[in-house]
Amino acid sequence: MDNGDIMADDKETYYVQSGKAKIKDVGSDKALYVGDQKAVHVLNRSAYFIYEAMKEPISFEELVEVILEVTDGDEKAIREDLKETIALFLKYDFIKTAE
Amino acid sequence: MRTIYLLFPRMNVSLTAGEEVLRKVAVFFPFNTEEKKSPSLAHAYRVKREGKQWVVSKDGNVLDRRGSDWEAVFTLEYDIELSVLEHRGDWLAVHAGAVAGEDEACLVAGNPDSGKTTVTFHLVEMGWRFMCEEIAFVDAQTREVHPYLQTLSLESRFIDAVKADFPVTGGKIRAVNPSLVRYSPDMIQRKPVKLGTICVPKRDPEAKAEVIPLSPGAFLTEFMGYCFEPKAGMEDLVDRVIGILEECRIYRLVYRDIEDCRKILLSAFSRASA
Repeated sequence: MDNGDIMADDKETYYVQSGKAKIKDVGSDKALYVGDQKAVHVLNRSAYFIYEAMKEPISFEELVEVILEVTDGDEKAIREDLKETIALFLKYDFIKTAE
Repeated sequence: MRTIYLLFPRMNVSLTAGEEVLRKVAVFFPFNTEEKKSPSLAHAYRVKREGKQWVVSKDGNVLDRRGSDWEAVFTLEYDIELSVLEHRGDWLAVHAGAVAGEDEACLVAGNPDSGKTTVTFHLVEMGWRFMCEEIAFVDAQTREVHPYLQTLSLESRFIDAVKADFPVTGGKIRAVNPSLVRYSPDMIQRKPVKLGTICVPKRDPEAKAEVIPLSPGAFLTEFMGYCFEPKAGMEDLVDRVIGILEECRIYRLVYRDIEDCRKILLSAFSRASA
């Protein structure tokens, strides 16, 4: 799935943690280890916040709202960053689209 | 032909060869040789001349046929490295040099040709005790670095460039061929030492020389790339690496040339001791 796909159905698609990633504390940072891929990825604070918000199924628009509640950032930039983050999370199997 | 015994971390081997080959082996492994038979031998190596070839065998099987005795010793060194890795058990194996200071060890981690050996060499010349060159073994339970002693392999032109700026006083240099020398440090560390610092050299002639502190999170995935494939599983490796990184100071050392490298090392370790 590329960013365009996320844009196209961001109103209908819900995202949720895949259950495949294990959270590891690394100093003050958080890393996700995915056993299937034998890979570890360190998340910045924003990415970890988004990942945590996906404990329960959540849509793109709901995620934008949640992020806007806690940041003063520009909405357009937030949407772009969120699209990229979701695309990476899907690629790394951190999350899946919810049924 | 004579048999000597070579002692390595968690593995000892025997080597049977002629006197000339044994003299050359001593250039590579001056710290590991014993005449007395070791009680537990993992492998029996033999280097024997057959006509114009030097045949290297291990446990009775031919490993390689080389055109000179130096080349045969290179083959021997490479295979011993593989065997030491195989016998490391639960230790973490890292692409890193290592040196010991007063009470702690410093890993110099990086990919091949990243400057590991250069920085390790400079640290030894600056008074640190040598522990490892290409591969360092770390016990994640105790955070101790275990010495894997061999001589440092350096390019002749590097040594020539060093000598233009600094006298080489911390070890002996022996030419292996026109382009390579082995540097045998005078001061070595034979016992394990607790790891305190990890340095990651980055030689960049265009960059500004600087010491960049790294957080465990910022360095985790990069450091994982310097670790050898684990025996106990990838998640176990991740957990052990995190445990080590959280207890260490980590610096990226950006330097342009030999003079820079020394200044950067002095800067990094004055920070570490501050």
